[in-house]
Amino acid sequence: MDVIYFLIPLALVLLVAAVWAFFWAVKHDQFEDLDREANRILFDEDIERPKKPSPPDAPKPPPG
Amino acid sequence: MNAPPTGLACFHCGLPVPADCKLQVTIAGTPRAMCCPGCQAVAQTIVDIGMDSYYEHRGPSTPGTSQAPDLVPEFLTELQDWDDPELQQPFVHSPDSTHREITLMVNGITCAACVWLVEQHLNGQDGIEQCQVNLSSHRARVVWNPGSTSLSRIIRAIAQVGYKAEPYNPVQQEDVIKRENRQALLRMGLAGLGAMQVMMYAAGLYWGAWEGIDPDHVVFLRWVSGVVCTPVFFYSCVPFYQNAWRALKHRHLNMDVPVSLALVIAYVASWWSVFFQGPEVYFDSVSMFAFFLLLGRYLEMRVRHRSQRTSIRLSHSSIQTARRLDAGGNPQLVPAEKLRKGDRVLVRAGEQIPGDGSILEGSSSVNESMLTGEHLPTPKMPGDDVTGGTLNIEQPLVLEIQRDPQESTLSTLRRLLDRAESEKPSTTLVADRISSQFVAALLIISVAVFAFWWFHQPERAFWIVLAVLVVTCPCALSLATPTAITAATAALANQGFLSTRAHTIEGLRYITDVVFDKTGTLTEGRFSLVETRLLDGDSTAQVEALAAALEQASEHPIARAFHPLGASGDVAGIRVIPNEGVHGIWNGAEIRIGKPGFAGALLASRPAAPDAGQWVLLATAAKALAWFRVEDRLREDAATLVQQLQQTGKRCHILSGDGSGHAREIGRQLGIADVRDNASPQDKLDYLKQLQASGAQVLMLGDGLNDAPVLAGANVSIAMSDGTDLAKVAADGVLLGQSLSPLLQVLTIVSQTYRIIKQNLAWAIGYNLIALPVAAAGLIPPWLSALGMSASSLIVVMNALRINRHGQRATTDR
Repeated sequence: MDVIYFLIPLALVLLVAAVWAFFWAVKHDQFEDLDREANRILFDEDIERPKKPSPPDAPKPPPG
Repeated sequence: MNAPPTGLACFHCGLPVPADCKLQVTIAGTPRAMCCPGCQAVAQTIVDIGMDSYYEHRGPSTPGTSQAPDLVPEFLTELQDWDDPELQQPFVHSPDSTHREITLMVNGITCAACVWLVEQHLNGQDGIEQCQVNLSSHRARVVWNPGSTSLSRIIRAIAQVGYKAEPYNPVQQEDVIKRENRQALLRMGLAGLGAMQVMMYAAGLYWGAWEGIDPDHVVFLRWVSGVVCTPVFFYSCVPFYQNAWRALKHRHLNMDVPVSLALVIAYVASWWSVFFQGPEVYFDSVSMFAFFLLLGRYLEMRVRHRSQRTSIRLSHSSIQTARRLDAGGNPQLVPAEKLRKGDRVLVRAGEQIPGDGSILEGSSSVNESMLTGEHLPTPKMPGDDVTGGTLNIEQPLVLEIQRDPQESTLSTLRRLLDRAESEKPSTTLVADRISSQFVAALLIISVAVFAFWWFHQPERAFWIVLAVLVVTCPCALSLATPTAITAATAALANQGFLSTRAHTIEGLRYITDVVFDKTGTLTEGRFSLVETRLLDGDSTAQVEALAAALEQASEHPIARAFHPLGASGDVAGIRVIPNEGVHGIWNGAEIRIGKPGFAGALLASRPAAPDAGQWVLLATAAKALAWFRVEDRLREDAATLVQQLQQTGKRCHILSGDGSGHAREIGRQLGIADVRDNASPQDKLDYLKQLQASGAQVLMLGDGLNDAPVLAGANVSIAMSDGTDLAKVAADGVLLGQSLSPLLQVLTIVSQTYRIIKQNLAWAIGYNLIALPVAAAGLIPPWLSALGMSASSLIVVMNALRINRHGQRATTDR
């Protein structure tokens, strides 16, 4: 069982790497908006769509 | 749930479609009903730009929280202002000469589909370099090229797909939220990773204790456990030590005192074991313990932050601008807080009056309902005083500012508010009370156990006390209340009620009296036509169409009652006479609508109003055509709400600033006997204090500026989401949407929450009562104490989650 003298330090190195990665992610705003990322997969970003039919400042109809 | 039993709900916004409305948009091949031209335009835009998958993926929105569509065009008219560099300056950053960057607050975002829609739409616009929308905070960061687009075009583009965006200056509170969140995540993440590792080594040690293990391996595993546990102990657990130290400094006991004690003793004793071959190490318990507690607190914090963010958003007031007249009489746009005494300002019709002043030129009517509760506008002539924050309705006015902003009526109200807030009766949280008693008992028992074993088996005393501290770890107890409150807050948000203070839910439990403010809470806050009496016209439809054609020109609240009617009839030369009515030319003769005295002035004999109420006369020079009665109608669900509140034994009161007797009429319709009208903000506060002095716990519902101090003084206060910003700041909770009925569900959820809190506390205390004697007898090995602690905590958390299931029916808006 003396292999643990090699494997456990190796696991510790991986642990340090994991902690470093997690800290990096938190500090780079990867956890800022958890609600949205969960839904992102649902949307197609690459669908072909027509260019806008009206200029951005087309007047809106009055309220009903 | 807002939709009437018959009839359709608007496919875009979910509000009921009026019976006579035939608007439709074809979405993904199916024609869908729309409730108004606003929704129709937005839905059509979404379809035209090929983004109809928005409708497929959007989450069900909380009824009524989506942007009321008729707000959008009104707000669009002031959009050009935002291109003024001076006004932009506090919001816009220029990373370089060809780019501008701004953070916009986007109202109306409820789900990921909204975010996608706004991002896709903006990113497809010319001149927009980058656009990112955050779903949690409802902010959009937009980078654009000032050469090819402008801020007003960006805001307009967002409005095109149905959202209202405003420039936003981050509040300091928000930085705090962000820092807290990040800090908590780091601590919890580290504790989680550490706990996983240490548990693995601990499993080896426990297994070894049964099956036999090389003593060298034991030493090695203990060392590694200790090393991995150390950052958890020194980094993740810091908040516990800080809280415990703070509590002890104030001679007070909280959960963090025994938590810290157990952590420190277990950690130090484990290292002692490592060096001197002691019986046990507790590194696994330390890191698991830290992880569970941090996880519970993190979840609680997230819900708290969500409410805080929503309340920041609700009380975020758009920048108030004023048109200051320079020496040459030309209006210049400035922020209202820069106005000084003696400045002259122009206030156009429909604008908010930027400061306290007196009228130099123009006559108009001013809606002061936020201040006085009086629902009809007050006529104002040159020389009259007007108050900042009120609304100019009909004609442009030129004012001379009489007071600097910090001495204005608004600031005075704010001070009254602060005072009421500081005098607010405090609600002690049940959990705090129980926990400090529990902690005291626990510490005394630990000392007693230690003393007992010290005299019998001194070498075991220390380890037994440690087992007692770990097994009785107040983990379950300290999670019992917060998890329940957290789940309840989320369930309430699903029902359209946002609780913004910690004690809101606790306070709602004891409510005995409910006080309504009449304007805007019980009534819709706007006039509608309720009756038409034909005198000499052709038909009801004809006179109504004529009236609508005339009143289109006026923005007076009474005139607006006619706006939804279809206007027809060949009326020309329409002119609005402030505070009187409207006249025009119809069939070659003069026609008038308005006050009986004004409209009937041309008649030989002036007709008198047929009945009590608010009557409007339509007449030509020759004959009176029709009478119209308008009324500020009760909200649809007001009657049911009052009835059910009274059934559950709560007394209802109406407190109104309105002196017209309308409040009494409303009270009579709803069966509320305790009505006080014509009350000033101070009167209202006095009435409230009187009620509280007689032992009542008061829930106050209000929406006006004049209600703000009263809201702050009530035991629990709830503002309506369309109320004034100040009211929302002062309130403990905000009712989202237009309907009152969520209030009943809120009360149900609150009582369910307290049932669950009691179960949780009973479980946590019961568990400890069983575990403690066994641990004190020295019968619990460390692995069992760690298991017991984790299991008891999980049960508490899962029990709390049942609250959310109840509220799941109208699923989340986030």
